[in-house]
Amino acid sequence: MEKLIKDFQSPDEATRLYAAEDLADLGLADAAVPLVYQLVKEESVAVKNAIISGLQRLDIIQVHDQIFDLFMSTDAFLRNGAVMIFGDGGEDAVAFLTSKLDHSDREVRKLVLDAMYLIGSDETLLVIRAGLFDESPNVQITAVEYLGRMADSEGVADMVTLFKESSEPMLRAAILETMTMVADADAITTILTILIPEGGSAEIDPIYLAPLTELIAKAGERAAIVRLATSITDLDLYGEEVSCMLTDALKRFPDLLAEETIFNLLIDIIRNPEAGNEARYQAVESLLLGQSGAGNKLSFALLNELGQLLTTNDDPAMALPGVRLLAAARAKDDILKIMEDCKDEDLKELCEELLQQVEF
Amino acid sequence: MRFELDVDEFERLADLIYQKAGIRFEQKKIYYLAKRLEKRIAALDLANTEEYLRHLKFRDHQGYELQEFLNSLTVNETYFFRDFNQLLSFAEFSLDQIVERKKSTGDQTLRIWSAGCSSGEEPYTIAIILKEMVENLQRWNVEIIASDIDLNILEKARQGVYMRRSVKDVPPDYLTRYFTQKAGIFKITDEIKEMVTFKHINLSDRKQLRPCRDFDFIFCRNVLIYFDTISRKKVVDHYYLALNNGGFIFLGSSESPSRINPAFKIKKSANHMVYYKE
Repeated sequence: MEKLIKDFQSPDEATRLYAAEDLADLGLADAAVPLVYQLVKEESVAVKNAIISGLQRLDIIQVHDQIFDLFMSTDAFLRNGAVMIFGDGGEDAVAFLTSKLDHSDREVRKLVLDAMYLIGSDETLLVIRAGLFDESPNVQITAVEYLGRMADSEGVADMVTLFKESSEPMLRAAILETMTMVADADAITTILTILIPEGGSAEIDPIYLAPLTELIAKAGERAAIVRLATSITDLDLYGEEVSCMLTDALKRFPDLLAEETIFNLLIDIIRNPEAGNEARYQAVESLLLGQSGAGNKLSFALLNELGQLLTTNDDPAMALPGVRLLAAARAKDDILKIMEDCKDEDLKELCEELLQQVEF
Repeated sequence: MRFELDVDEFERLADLIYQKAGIRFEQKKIYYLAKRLEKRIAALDLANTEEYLRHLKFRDHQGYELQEFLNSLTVNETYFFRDFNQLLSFAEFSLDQIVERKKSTGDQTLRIWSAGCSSGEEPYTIAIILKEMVENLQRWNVEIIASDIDLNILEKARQGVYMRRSVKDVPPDYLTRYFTQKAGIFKITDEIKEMVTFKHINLSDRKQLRPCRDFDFIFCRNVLIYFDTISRKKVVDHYYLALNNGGFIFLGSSESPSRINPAFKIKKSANHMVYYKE
């Protein structure tokens, strides 16, 4: 080991890199000391990287403090390297890092959570959950994101409480995203009530709309979906969010269009050119997806009317979903005429395909 | 009686292979290992895996049996001009950069290492590319070192004889120029053969690996998939040291050298990202 430590003095990069490898290969906890010492002084990225890899393989209990000091380094490579080293540090590292959760620098506290996430044990989950109560929103956001990735369903109650008590928009948006992965029906209902206390869409801050609709679509109960969709009245502005939400929700609730309010909402979006192409396109997707659930409400006549509306306006982009509605309406002659008159190859190809697939 | 390899035996064997060759076999590969082990046990007329393990540990002093076993484990599936887009980057971008730089300094050496060369298609492909792309190649001192852990496959590579499927992607002009053909068998010309030196190198053996230095190009494509994270890192770290400044490394298209060793830099050629040592 002494010879290898001496090799760190060499001006030759290869000698120093091999010394780092060979020291780590010894597997001795004592080897961590010279490795950390060299890491701080070393200029070569390749050698630093080899040292970090080596330290990941060793028992680092003797050098916890020195590696923790790297969290305060101005060199991002060293800060990230320290996170990775602790990430392989096991339960000893958990105990050490937990004692640093009250560090005065919020960036250091975030790095502690980063390392905890990499260690990824049941104990680190508890520590990360404690990060929800940090005084810095940045640390709280980091904790929320990691709890989502770790699928921490037991932390939901704490996150809902945080959502209620905090007015920090980025934190609340992060909680909504995490809820998509871990929330139960009660939690979602609570969050919806916090955001829509009086039942009107004016209550919802637009910054929350996208993560909220995603949450409700993927994990909300049927009642929550209906409540949110029907509370959003400005379809010119939020038609796309509503359409996308319903497309996702229909995968879980195929008969969702049996709800009169939802059905009418989709029809309104399709009829409204101000809602924008994407919203109308998604609304057609939802309608066709939930066709069977809609029952008698979705007659051939209505499908035909909507199809004609989209295929005869000036916007060629709407012709594609329009033709699909005509196919659903069994309007063969109309499709043949469109195929004959149009110059767009994609549209022609879709018409051909629909004429083959649909039984008229 | 059907040959079985239990988990404990598998782990002991896998550990031994890892120690000696750096190749990591996970438990899902137990069947693969068992099939090959069965053949070696029969070849040595031993009774079971336990005896084979004892043979490897205590009676295989020169490592011949281990080498035989390793020979049977490595998959040797390759063909000429494999991963064409990457070779295009080599031929039209990287090679040009190195050649022009060296011409300007009067250095007319080119050293290339094809690591994990298998039956030789890759190093011979590289030789053909040099012939086609480097003007007045005869004035250059060119060394293409081609290495593999499998002795049998190296012998095959030295012969330079191939079936049609190995040459399916060779441009027709090159096929005419650099191969002779008879009855569906394709033989590489002596002119190309003489450009390549084949060597037995175990990438996990640091005594064999570390002296390999001073290359302008290193190719190691679809070899590192056999290695675990630690072994892979050691090999790629060595490749970094083994390259001359400005030298290029080519791993498999889905592999990123800079993720393994962040000292590698990236450049964009017309159709590919290329990695090099600054």
